[in-house]
Amino acid sequence: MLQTRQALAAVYADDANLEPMEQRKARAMADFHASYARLKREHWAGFAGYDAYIARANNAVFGVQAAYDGQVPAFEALFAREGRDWARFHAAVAALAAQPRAERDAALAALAAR
Amino acid sequence: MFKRVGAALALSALAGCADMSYYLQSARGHLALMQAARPIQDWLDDPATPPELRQRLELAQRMRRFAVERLHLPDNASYHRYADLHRQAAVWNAVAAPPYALTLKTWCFPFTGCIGYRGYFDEAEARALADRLRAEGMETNVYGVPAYSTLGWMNWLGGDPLLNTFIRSNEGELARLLFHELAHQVVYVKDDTTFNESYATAVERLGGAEWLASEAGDGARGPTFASTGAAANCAH
Repeated sequence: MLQTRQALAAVYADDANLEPMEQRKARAMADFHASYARLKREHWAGFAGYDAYIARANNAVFGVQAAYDGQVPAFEALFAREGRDWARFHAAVAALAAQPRAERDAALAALAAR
Repeated sequence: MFKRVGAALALSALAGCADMSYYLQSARGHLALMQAARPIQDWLDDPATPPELRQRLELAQRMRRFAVERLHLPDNASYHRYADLHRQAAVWNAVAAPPYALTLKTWCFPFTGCIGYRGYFDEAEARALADRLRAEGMETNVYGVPAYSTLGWMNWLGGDPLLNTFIRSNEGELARLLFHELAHQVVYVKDDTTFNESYATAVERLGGAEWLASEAGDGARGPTFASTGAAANCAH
């Protein structure tokens, strides 16, 4: 799903492309559904428990996922940087929280790139 | 890949008139939840409590201690009580994004700031909002969430309780959910859903892995997709 999220983000960011955005979006979604079908068939022995969720996948669903895990790699890097010490980690997060949004986002982007 | 989605509920009695009915349902729903909650010890002492619930409550008590002692999460009133809501989700969230962006529509509230979802105690109300937004051309989703956080503001009233909506999740999932919601009581930034949720998600993953590595019972590690209970909540 991360891959599709990134593909969609790239489609939406590229408004200079001559091919209509609608078509490129439809292709990214078709790829997504084909990958899911393959995963289900080849690795899950046909387990259908996620079919309804996958069928509903759209910008709102991908947007929620992005909100819930978009900065997780940065926080995991921060945890490692703080020596996997929980007290230090929470304190470092609180210090980030106190920063203005732009500085916080830049600090997290730098952490994610470590 | 598919995860439970926790939530911070926008709670407030200090609302403008336009949103008054929304705030009223929030306050009513939360009050009902608080009234349904009883101390874990009451449930354990009650001979009518089924053995499997008793076992889950004792497990949750151990996780709560672990959260404080190992993960340095807050030692407060939250998750020392349990409530059976007799429904499958604590709240239902409506979310929406435009046709050509992954940016969630946000709603703004006095204490939480602007957040990318709108929670309802009544699923039908969440669906009605999603229908209206879809008619306006947005892409929408409605999903049930097993728990929400009151961000620590309600600890003086007993805090956030354990709920039937998640108490029977597999062990790893239950641990992750508790650690996630408790993280919201450590740090919460207004108007930055991604920061808040990513931090809580990192705490649940890292803390959940520590729990499984050092504390978990046999079989708790389970298959990768043992989290279907939580996914089912997402699928509402």
